[in-house]
Amino acid sequence: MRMAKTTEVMSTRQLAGILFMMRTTVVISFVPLITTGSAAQDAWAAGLIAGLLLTLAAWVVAGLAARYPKLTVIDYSRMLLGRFFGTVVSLAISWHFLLIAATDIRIYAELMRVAFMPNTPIWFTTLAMVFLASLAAWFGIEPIGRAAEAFLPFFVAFIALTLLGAAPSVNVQNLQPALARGPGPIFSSVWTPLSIGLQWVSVGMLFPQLTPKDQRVRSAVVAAAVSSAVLAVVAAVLVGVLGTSLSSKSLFPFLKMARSVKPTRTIERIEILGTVAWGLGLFAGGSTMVYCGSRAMAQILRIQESRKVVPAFGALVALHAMYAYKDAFELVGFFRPPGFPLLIALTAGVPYALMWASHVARHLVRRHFGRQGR
Amino acid sequence: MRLIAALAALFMAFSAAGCWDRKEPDDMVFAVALGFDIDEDGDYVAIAQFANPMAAKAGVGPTSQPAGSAPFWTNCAKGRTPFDALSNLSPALSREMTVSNIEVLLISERLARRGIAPIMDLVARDNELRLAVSAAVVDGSLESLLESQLPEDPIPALAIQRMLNPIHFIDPSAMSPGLLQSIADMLRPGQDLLMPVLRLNAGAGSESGTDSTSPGSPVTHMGSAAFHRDKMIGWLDGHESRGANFARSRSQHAPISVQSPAGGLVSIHITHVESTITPRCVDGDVSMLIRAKVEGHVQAQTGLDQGQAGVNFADPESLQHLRSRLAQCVREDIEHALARSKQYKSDFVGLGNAIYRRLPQVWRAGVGERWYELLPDVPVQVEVEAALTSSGLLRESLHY
Repeated sequence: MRMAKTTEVMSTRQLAGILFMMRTTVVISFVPLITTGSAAQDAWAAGLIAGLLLTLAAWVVAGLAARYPKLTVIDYSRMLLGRFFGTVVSLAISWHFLLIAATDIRIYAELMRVAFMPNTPIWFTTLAMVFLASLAAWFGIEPIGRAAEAFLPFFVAFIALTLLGAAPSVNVQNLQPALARGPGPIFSSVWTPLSIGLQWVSVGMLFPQLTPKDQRVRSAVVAAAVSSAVLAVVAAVLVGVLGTSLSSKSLFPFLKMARSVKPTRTIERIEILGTVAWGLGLFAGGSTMVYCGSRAMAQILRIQESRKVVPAFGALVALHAMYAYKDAFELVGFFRPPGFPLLIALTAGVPYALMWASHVARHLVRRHFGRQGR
Repeated sequence: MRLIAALAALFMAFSAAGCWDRKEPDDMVFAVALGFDIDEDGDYVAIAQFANPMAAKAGVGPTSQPAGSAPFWTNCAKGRTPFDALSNLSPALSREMTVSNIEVLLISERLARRGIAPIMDLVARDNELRLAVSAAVVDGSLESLLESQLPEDPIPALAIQRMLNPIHFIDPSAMSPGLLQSIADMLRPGQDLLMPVLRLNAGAGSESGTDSTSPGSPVTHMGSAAFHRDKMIGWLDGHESRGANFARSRSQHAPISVQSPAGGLVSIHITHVESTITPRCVDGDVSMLIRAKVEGHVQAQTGLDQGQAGVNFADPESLQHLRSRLAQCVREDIEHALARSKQYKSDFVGLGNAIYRRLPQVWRAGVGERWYELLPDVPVQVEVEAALTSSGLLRESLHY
């Protein structure tokens, strides 16, 4: 078996920052808690449930990686599932990185077109962001981690300031009646945000490079819990400001909220804060995905240096971002349940379930034969 | 590596230039107010007021100087949709129009009665228009209002915006909820919209009015327009508006004059209102309890002539009397608002929404579907608790 070879290292704090920014960026972009289900005023509860499940999923991904601390998911998928099925799973995981990077970038490009630059073609924004992400991936995960660490305080501050600016416009009545319609509507809004947690697959690629080693699993799990808590707060403030109907009907509810409030007579416009935070998060997430995807493809294709794959992978991301979604309608439709959650469950959930099952079976067999040997 | 860095810098420089969406301020004209009307043929009419900052700075009146040096001007166009009408303003302009800086959105009575959903849809959908602007229904000619000069400000849109958004001074009429609140009210179950009204005063818009040495304001912000869903149903006067705002906790500052126990009137400045609407359902019969707490201070009194001493604020009985009269006045305002709500079948107080929020099972069990049939017959009990915080800067009245 060909093991991943790299001298690059990344701190667990940087990984947690990247995961936090990556999830928060996508989730605040079109706020799937509100736009993909019928949780309405209970979207915050859906966010908490999705957060709990995502934390569990993060533990599943990071926990398996911790069993093979020197291997990437590409390595141990082949070890656990055999060469053929392992390669199929590896390809699926590579496709996940492509999908996440391309879709995140396309969402950002749509935001730019719809809200700020209606005459600028999608391809221009897409290529600019893909170029930036690929450039960062080319330089490696260390600069990406350091950049993410530098961006994180600004990211958090900008999101917090947007929420603070909107807070005076919160009408608590918009959040009522709370939890009055039973679990059905709440769970309808859980699946898409949970599926967006597919981003945690990157932990399986980056795990061998993380340091300190004893905090690797914890950083992935904490990032899931914190980002989900932020998501629940965002959903509550958003519904409190816009109401259930306007927020669920908006294409970009977070931006709509930021544009709809006037915090003071002197500070009238605050949407730039959220948009800049979004850009920072997209850079951190997009570059990490391009890096992980390039490394995964390099391992599958047995290319020694993953950097050589970055331009090709970046080109694939750009093509996917531009051509996989005809327009904003298709982009929104892509995330709609049950299609998107099912797709992720089949392509990520089932492989991880199989890998865990294989790991447990191997462990039991080894213990069984170990006892017999004694 | 250097080549890549150089290419990256070049690429960044190109993208920073803005390319396709660059807009030079010199090539743009900024609308500061936007009005929508509808004509007899059902075509939308868009009226935009544009600011001329150079003339506004010089303090030139709109009609005393030749065209081009006025602080503002208006333009009007028609279209089959609100966006058509808005777009049709452009052919008459030499610069690109932008509506991202509008201060107020005004809607004519005729359009309000026809339905404002298309206007709200445009505002919520457009990438330049914002829900943070103030909105009002105009009682009178919308075009005349937008062409009128207001004495406080060379650009009328700014004066209207300030008129609709009083900060701390007393305003007995509806506070401007802003477009965001308006849309939220329209979309909320069991709640109807109440929009502020701008009434055009007699003679407004005429040239003689602006030539006067002491021109009064051509417009008054008084009362509200009640809606059912997106259609205006009727007007509310100042007292009814105030009552509706008391019931919805949306009014903070209001003047109320009550009978003084010592004769004459005592004016009380209400500074704080907090209300709750509690729905009850007993054996399928819905009833409501509105409980309001108001707080204010004494601002003035009459009946001080002929040697009368006025109210003795140290006397607990006199204070109790004033409190109970204040509570009665607030209760009457709320009851007037409720009577109008039942007459119009417009739930601008939000009684239905209180059921939806606090008794969701009852709302879903059929009350929600039949709410507007039930509304006129729903018994509403109003309880008001009034508090006086001070007698202003005087402990006793001045009398002669």
